[in-house]
Amino acid sequence: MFMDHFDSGKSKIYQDAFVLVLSEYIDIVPLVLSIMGRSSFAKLMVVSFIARRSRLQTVELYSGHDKNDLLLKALMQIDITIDDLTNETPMFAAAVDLLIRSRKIQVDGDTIKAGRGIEGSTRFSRFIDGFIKECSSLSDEYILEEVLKNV
Amino acid sequence: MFSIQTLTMIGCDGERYPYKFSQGINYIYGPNGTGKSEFYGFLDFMLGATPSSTAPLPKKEWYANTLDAAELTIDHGEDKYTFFRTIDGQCFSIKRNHHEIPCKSLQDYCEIIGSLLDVPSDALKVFKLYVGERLQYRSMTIFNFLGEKGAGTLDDFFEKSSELKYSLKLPRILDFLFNSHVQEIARLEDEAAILREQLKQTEEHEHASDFLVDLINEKLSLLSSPFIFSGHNIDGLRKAINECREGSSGRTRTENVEGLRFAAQSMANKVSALNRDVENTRSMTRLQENRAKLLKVLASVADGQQDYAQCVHAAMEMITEIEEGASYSRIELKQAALKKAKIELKRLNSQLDALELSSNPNDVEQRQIALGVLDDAVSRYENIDQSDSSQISTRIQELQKNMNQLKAEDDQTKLVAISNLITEYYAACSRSTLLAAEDFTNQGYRIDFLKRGCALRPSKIEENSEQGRNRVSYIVGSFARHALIQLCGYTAFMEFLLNDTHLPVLPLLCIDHPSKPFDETNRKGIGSILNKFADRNKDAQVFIFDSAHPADLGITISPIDLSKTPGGGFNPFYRH
Repeated sequence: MFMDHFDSGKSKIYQDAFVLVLSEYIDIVPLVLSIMGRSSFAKLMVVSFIARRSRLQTVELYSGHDKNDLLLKALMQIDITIDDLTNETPMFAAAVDLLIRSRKIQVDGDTIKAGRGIEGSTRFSRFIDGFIKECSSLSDEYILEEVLKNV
Repeated sequence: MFSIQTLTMIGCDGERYPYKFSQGINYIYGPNGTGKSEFYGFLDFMLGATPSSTAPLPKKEWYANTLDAAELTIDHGEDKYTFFRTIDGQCFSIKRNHHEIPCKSLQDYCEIIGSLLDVPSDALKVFKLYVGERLQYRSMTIFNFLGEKGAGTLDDFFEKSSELKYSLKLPRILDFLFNSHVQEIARLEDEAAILREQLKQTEEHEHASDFLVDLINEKLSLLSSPFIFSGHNIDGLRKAINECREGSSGRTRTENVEGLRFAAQSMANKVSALNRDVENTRSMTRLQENRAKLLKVLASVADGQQDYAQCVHAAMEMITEIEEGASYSRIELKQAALKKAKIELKRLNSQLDALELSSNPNDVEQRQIALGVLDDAVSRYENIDQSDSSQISTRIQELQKNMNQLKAEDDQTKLVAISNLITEYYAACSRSTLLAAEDFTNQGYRIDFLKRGCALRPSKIEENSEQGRNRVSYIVGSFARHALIQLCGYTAFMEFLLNDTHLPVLPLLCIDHPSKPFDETNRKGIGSILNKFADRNKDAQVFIFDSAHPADLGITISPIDLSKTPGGGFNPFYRH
């Protein structure tokens, strides 16, 4: 259950932040899956993380005009460290947990796919839309390798 | 058919003196000092050569104060063209069947001469697309003129290629002549030209789009809107404009400035981070640390999960297997990102400065103007074609690469054909000169044309007990022999070019003092080669300028004797 990931021993601010970020992932993960269709846990986690961080950017270096190397460009555009990713992983996992239980997404073997009733249109920028589309055709190994070497 | 009929010299007092020419060989005979080489150069001048800036004709002794102009009459089918040119090279006049044709410049003059060569316009277009510039018959005169100075050269054997403007063009012309993919290359070049035009337009659109984004942001900040338009959040922009119009933007001007300051600060941090990143190549250590941290957190996430523990374990396995080594990411990409970040930082700072210095934004009139400009800018932005310039650039690069590959492939059949033709011409003089007869006693003797270096290379077959039959280069150091081989190169090339109706080539060959390198016994070789050329190419004219009598060269025509003109030389009005 998602409460397994929720550390009640942490401060009130952490608990508030956990719920806030969790709710954002509940919003983002189905949107990402609506573009990718199906994804491994690792790819979904990394792509959702970058998509969420990109939405927080005040100004963006890249736009819909950019068509190539979007994973690398997205990584360069956002300010993240491995700690940011590891800190948000429990929140992402909790969001996935809740979404599976509410049948918004489904587990199919090693992969996760969109459930019924997921809307096709997204609320990401054209750049992030392109980035998610690019990632759906890249291998999991490549994406993880780039993330681990570039954060 | 293009045929030079007369060259009429016009003196300063208006007197006229005609030289008459015929098809085939024209022999201009004259002892030393009668101006044969001047005549040779003057023919090129009348065919459109640019006057020399260092030695203009009116200042030369042969011309000064005696010769004013000349007229060249050319027959073209049923028409007779008269090309008039003053010796200072400044005044031109052209008549077709006695009717004046407008001609104001040397360019017009050359255009009209070029039009008489009957080359199809699409062939000229292919030539231009291939060579990269519009080449006229003037560039091809490199094949028409063999001067005295360059006689006996086998490497880079066209005499005019000693001039820079011709030497730069010659390799491209030879590439064109000996390539079998000319049509394909021209088609690709055509496609690339269209794409270049598209790229130009797309880049203009992108610049316009960047300009409009800046303008919109400037006006938004003037209206105290906290919204920043990035180029793709157009729905948010409309909402922000509506808020400004309704005056419902609750944010204060101070908050907006603060927002911009925050954005600028974030961008400054980004610039420093990217700076560090560009310099930092320690990705391997980073990978190990990052991997350990991520595995640890994933292990805790998977712990006690039923639904998707399998998915998490698969991810962990994958992370464990990532190999160490340099990242796929390119340093260029990081440098490009850094450049972009610096530009964005500069933009934010200038926007911030403008906002801090701007006049009172609450002024109603100013707000209305800003809203008007915003509406206009947004509608313009929406109408801009948002196609991507990088894709067009990539396609152009691909086309260029393909073209370079195709251009590098020579048509061996054509190269063999021209080599055979050169050898055939040389064989024609083996009866009249010992030099060639001697050469053909060597087994398998032949002369090859080498495109690289534009060289003529005689070779023979050598038999060796160790290596068997082997073709070896056979260059005997004889000036006369080399001069004969070079002449064969010229005649073979002219025949080869005249057989291709798609090339802008004057059907004539001008040779200055060909007998110079020869003793009396070998001179007849020149006649054998040129007679053969004239027999095989009935539409061509040959102009020989020499001090030897034509019979000495084995040519049986009556010459034009320069010593018998009123002035005793090429310029009939010249006074010693």
